[in-house]
Amino acid sequence: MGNPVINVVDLVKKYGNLTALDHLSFMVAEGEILGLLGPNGSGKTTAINCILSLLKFEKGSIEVFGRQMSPDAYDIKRDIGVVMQNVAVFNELTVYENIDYFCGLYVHDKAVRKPYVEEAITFTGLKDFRKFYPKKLSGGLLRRLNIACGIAHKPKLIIMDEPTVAVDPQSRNNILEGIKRLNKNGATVLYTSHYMEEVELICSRIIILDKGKIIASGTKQELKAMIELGEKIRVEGVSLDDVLMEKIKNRPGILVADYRDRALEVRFAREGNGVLGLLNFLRDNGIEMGRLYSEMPTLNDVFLELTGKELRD
Amino acid sequence: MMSHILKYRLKCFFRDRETLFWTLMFPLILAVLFNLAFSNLYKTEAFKDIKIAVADSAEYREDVIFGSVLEAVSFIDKGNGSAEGDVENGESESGGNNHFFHTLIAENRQEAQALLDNNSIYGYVYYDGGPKLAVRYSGIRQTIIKSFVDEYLQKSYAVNDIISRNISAGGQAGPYGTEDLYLKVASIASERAVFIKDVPASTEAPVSTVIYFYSLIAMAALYGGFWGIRAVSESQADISYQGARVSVAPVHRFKQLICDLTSAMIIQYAEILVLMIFIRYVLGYEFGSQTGLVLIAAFAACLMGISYGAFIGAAVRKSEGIRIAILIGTSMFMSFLSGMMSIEIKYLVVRAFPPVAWLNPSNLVSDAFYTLYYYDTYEKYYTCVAGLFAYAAVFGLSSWLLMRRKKYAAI
Ligand SMILES: Nc1ncnc2c1ncn2[C@@H]1O[C@H](COP(=O)(O)OP(=O)(O)O)[C@@H](O)[C@H]1O
Ligand SMILES: [Mg+2]
Repeated sequence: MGNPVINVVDLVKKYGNLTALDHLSFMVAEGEILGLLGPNGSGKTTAINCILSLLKFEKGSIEVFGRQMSPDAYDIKRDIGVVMQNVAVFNELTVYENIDYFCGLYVHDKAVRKPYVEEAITFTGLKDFRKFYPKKLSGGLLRRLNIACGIAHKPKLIIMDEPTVAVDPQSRNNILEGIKRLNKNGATVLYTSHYMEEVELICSRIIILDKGKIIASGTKQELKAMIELGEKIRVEGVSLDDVLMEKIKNRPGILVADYRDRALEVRFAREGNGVLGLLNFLRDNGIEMGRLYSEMPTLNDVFLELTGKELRD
Repeated sequence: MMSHILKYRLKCFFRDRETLFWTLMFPLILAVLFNLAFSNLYKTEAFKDIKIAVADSAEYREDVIFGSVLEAVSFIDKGNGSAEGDVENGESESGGNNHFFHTLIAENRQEAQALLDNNSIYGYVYYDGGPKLAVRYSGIRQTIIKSFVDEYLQKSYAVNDIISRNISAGGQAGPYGTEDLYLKVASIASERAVFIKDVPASTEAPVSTVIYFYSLIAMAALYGGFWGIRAVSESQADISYQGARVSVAPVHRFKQLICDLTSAMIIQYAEILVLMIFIRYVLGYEFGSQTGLVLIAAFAACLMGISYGAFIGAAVRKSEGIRIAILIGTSMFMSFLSGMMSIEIKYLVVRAFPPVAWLNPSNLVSDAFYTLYYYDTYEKYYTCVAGLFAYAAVFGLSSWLLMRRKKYAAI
């Protein structure tokens, strides 16, 4: 891993009696996209606001670019791009003006700034909307504007808090692709979400957060290796009787088997090669098979196994 | 960079229709309504003789000024006071065209009351520690009589003010000697007469109506607090998303706030000037000849209003709605006390609760304008303007103390 860009050590944050962050420690290494994954209320936004020195906290230390973070650390702030969870733009400014305004808080030279703003507009696909006021933008476009305002000044570190909430699939893909490109161009990214698919798709490393605590971290392969589950298959168009089902359930490496509406669903354990064995078993018993689907375990399965609850609300 | 922030904040403010409504359109609408009320009052009914009576008494005879003012605006009927006919049958034919009133001199209060009771007159003036007015109904004519007496009282208040200041300044040795003083008094008294005699067909209302407009400007200045509230809200991380966003940018908090408040001040001052130009050149109410000082007073008023809003924004950490309700409520109340709805309230406050009058920022604004318009001395003007700057400083400093916090327990 590269040098730590963000280093959070033993962070404790309380809102009154509620402990929102419970001895949280993690770091973001230079060049990576670190995903902070957790359900609503797990403390993602709180962690980010602490890192940005917006919130006081009870205990812990936060370093950014190897220096102590504080509200007055303007030289650190200059290299951070922030996309907040809530869209923070000015309703009286057009798309172009909003981006130029926020970019101008970081880049003072107008001549330097102009191409930056143009680039951000192209990057977020807002070219056709540059003269639009935020009120006229759809939810997805508004999110893109929020992002453009956060990244136009070409920051070394980008912090994004659920930038795709309530966004249409097209905008979402556009945004996710964009984040990957920013990362390729050299930016380190801290990305929070409660959508496991997103995090799986773009993050090089993932931290799973629940109730202010880290319950697991690693690459997605590492995370999936932590649990017992293997793939899940679904075979359609089969006719099975109870005797056969009982035999299937008792085969090695099968955790759960279910037969309903002429479809068989089987969850395998991670170890072993149960799928092929099952298919051979069905063929040997003269069972005709229709379609076959196979699905790898998801981070949701990881979360479910670690916490006993679903990641989604 | 400050010019960058300033430029965009101004753009935001100039496009903020809702706040523009409250800070500019609303005062303009009120100004038009005020003007409508006054011009109707003085246009339709003003120059017909209205029958009134004065109850003769020693006190009345001693009040030379009132007598002469009344004379100037009346056809004085020194007959036996037994005017015939019902007032509702029409206006008196005996008066000249330039007269407000057809005034009978009744021998005493009882006789005047009898005239009122049998509908021979609309009202009468009697003396009981100063001129008092008795009317039976309320109507437009009664209102005119009342506004005449009120105006007289208010002028004598102005005169008394001059006299008492002369006395405190050492009597004869003051800026006005005794003779000067009488000249001054006389000119104030006759100004009214001249005013009415010379412009019989004009739609212009009496001098005191300017106070309504000055109080309206004071209210508009306090409404500048809308900009103050907005500026402060949008720079605090725990109040608005924009505030949080701006707080993580590499801009010094104080700098950001100064830019925001400067933009607020620029737009607010522009709005007040528009309002004043409208009042002066469209509606035709004067501000006196000291343009420079008028502009300074307007500036001080705006500064006070903006910082008042900033203070509300910093101190009231509730919803936007509550902050605005507080601003509107207090502004209206202060303007009410300074005479925006009725001048009598202003004089009542001055007489009964002088400290409230001195402390009321709205009163400071309207008095600053009124002194410029009315007096030849500037002492009171400077006191008012200094008071406004002092308010701006106190509100501004308190806001900063409340806001300088940079990290929050919760946002
Ligand atoms: N301003 C606040 N006051 C009190 N509690 C809060 C506040 N903000 C968040 N919380 C609580 O802190 C916990 C973490 O919230 P948050 O950081 O917003 O989670 P996430 O961003 O992961 O959804 C939640 O239980 C939430 O209810
Ligand atoms: Mg959140």
